[in-house]
Amino acid sequence: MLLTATFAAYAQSQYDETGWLPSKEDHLVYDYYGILSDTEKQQLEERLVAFDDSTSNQIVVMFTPGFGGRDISSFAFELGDEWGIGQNKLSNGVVIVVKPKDQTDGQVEIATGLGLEGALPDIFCKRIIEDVMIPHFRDNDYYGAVCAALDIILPVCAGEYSYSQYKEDNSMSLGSLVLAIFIVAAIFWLVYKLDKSSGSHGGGHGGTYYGGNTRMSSWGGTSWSGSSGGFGGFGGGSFGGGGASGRW
Amino acid sequence: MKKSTWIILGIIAIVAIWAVSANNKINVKQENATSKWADVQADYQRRKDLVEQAINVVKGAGNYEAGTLEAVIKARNNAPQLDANDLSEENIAKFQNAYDKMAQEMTRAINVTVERYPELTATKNYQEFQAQIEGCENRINVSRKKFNEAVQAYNTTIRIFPTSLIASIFGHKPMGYFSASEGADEAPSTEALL
Repeated sequence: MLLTATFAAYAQSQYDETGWLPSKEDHLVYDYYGILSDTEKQQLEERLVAFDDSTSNQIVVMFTPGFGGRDISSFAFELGDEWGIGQNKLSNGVVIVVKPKDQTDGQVEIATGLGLEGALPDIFCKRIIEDVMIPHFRDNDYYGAVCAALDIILPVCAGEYSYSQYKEDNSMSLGSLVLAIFIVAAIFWLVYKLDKSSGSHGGGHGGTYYGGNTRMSSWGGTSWSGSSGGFGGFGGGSFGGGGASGRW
Repeated sequence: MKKSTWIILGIIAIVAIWAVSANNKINVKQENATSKWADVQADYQRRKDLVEQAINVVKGAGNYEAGTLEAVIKARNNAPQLDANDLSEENIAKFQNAYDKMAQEMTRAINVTVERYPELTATKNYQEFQAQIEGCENRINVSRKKFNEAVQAYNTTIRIFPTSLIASIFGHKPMGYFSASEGADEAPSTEALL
């Protein structure tokens, strides 16, 4: 009696607690199940980071024993939306969630961001799951299953959104650039005018000028940080329920 | 003019500016909720379109029961469009019921057909249809959740003081939510069809 009670408590892990959602970290592969080896995990991570760097498409792979009391699909959509996987305007994110088979059935979900629903239609994801991933899963080859799925998904996503397209979408338009220059010029002119009319040349004025300058540089810093090295962070993409799931 | 007149005018101006900005804030939230409603409507429309496919799958089986098809078609024709200006609790519940009934009839017709014609499950047509039903239900769940969140933000704004004053002056009414209907919070798994 006591034994079954402790076992039940053990089985009811944090992953099954209602509302559980992992907190966002700066990488793309998450293995809460501990099913990948360190090298496999690293290779997968490098592949996905490189793909994000070169095409701006963000793909998250997660192995988890539970979905916070939701079904696997809702879990994947909520994760994608909460974390903002994919770029903001393109919504080019994909979430692949796998629950390995143990006492209970194995489950897998490929959730597509709103911007990729056209390139990866539900039925296409279903085919990847049934024809490509599940045969590997049945052989307990979890790494191979994900790699084989990525072999198909990556080229398709790259065809939909390239890095240059992302850049184009995010670069300032000519109009807003002109406006920005105009505003900056106006501020400088105002500072200059105030300086003249106040007549004093104390440190107070120097302070304002300097203040403006630091703000500019910190703004530049936040916008363009993290573009080199590891994964630079999620872009704010959203999910609308596209994708497919499977069981084995 | 006397100084006091200026002060009074100033206060009136400040109140007017606040009222306009508060009203704008309410309008933005309302607009957001209405646009989320459009997404909900589009996803339900997808479910309606899926009924056509279900009918084709059933007809493709050849040996189908005509009565089941009639029920699906009738349920589909009863599924209404709902104007975004009329999103009361009651209307949303009606809308939801009509569409849920349609989905039930659709599932029933498919189940009856599969029982009579089990080979159907092996056809490509049928498998694609299953994947689409799943995707459709998932999209409905997500868009309903987002709509509910937007409505909550709007309703909270018009209910708390002092924006509640502005809301009552400009006649902003609270909007209804989607409630989870039985079995609707979980997308029907493909097994449920068998």
